[in-house]
Amino acid sequence: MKVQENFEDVIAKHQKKIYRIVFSFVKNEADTDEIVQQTFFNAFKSYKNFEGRSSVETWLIRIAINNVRTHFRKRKFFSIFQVFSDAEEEIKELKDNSRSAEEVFKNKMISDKVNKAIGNLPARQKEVFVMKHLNGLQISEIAGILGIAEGSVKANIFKAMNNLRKLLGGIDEM
Amino acid sequence: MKCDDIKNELYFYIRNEIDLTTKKEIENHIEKCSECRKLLNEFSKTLNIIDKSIIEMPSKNWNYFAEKTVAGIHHRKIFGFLKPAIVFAVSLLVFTISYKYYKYRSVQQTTSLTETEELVSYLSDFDIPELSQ
Repeated sequence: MKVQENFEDVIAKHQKKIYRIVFSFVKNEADTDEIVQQTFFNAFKSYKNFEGRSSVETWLIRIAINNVRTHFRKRKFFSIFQVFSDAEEEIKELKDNSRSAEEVFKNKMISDKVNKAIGNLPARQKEVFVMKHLNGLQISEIAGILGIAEGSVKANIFKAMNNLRKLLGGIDEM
Repeated sequence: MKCDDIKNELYFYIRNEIDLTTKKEIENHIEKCSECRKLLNEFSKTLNIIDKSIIEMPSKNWNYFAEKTVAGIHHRKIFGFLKPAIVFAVSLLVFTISYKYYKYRSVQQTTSLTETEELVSYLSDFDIPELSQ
């Protein structure tokens, strides 16, 4: 019972950060809800055995990143069935927005291109870049979460930036 | 600092997440190195584009979300055990039904053979020549 009460405090303390990190990868509220809940469930199951070699936050982010990887693996497998639902969502977004259709379309094109470019980065570069740039994590934190050296984090950020530069090169001419 | 070291620091230079000494070193290097200068400009442009397209995180009632997460843990604790049990029970049921159906079909076939034999023997009593042939 005590473990559970403690764990409720853990959820209250860390949920926002975990949520933000997962959302920056997944970019979908429903999937993020599911992954965050799964993350806390996984953490709850092994909370008694948590040895405290890293901070609770680092440990939770590590579990969340693993769940995000699983999510993308599943999504890749089922992607063939999602072509139509994605198109429907795009149409709905365009209809819902009150701004001019041209502006919405242009912003959506850029946003899609950026998200696609980030999504197409090699896994390690994507993880490092999203954690650093979209979540503002420290280099030492990222190194701890991924179990790599700080120099390797910096090198991966450079590689990610270099790939994004190439992928988004022509975007300002749009 | 060599070009490779400078390149690894460019992101942090743009974001101003760098100590003064390294900042000075980068600035001195960039003045002389056109390749790194070009890369710095392109990285700045790329980051501007990315920053403009960041999708905002949805606003949440965090107390409610925490309650939902705790409830979700309880739910998963219960149904986590039930799920394999349900899968096992359904598989067992399907297997039993298939087995029973197979048995039923076999008995039906045996019965229908016996019934035919009985009919032939019954008709033989009437001494029908076609049948005896």
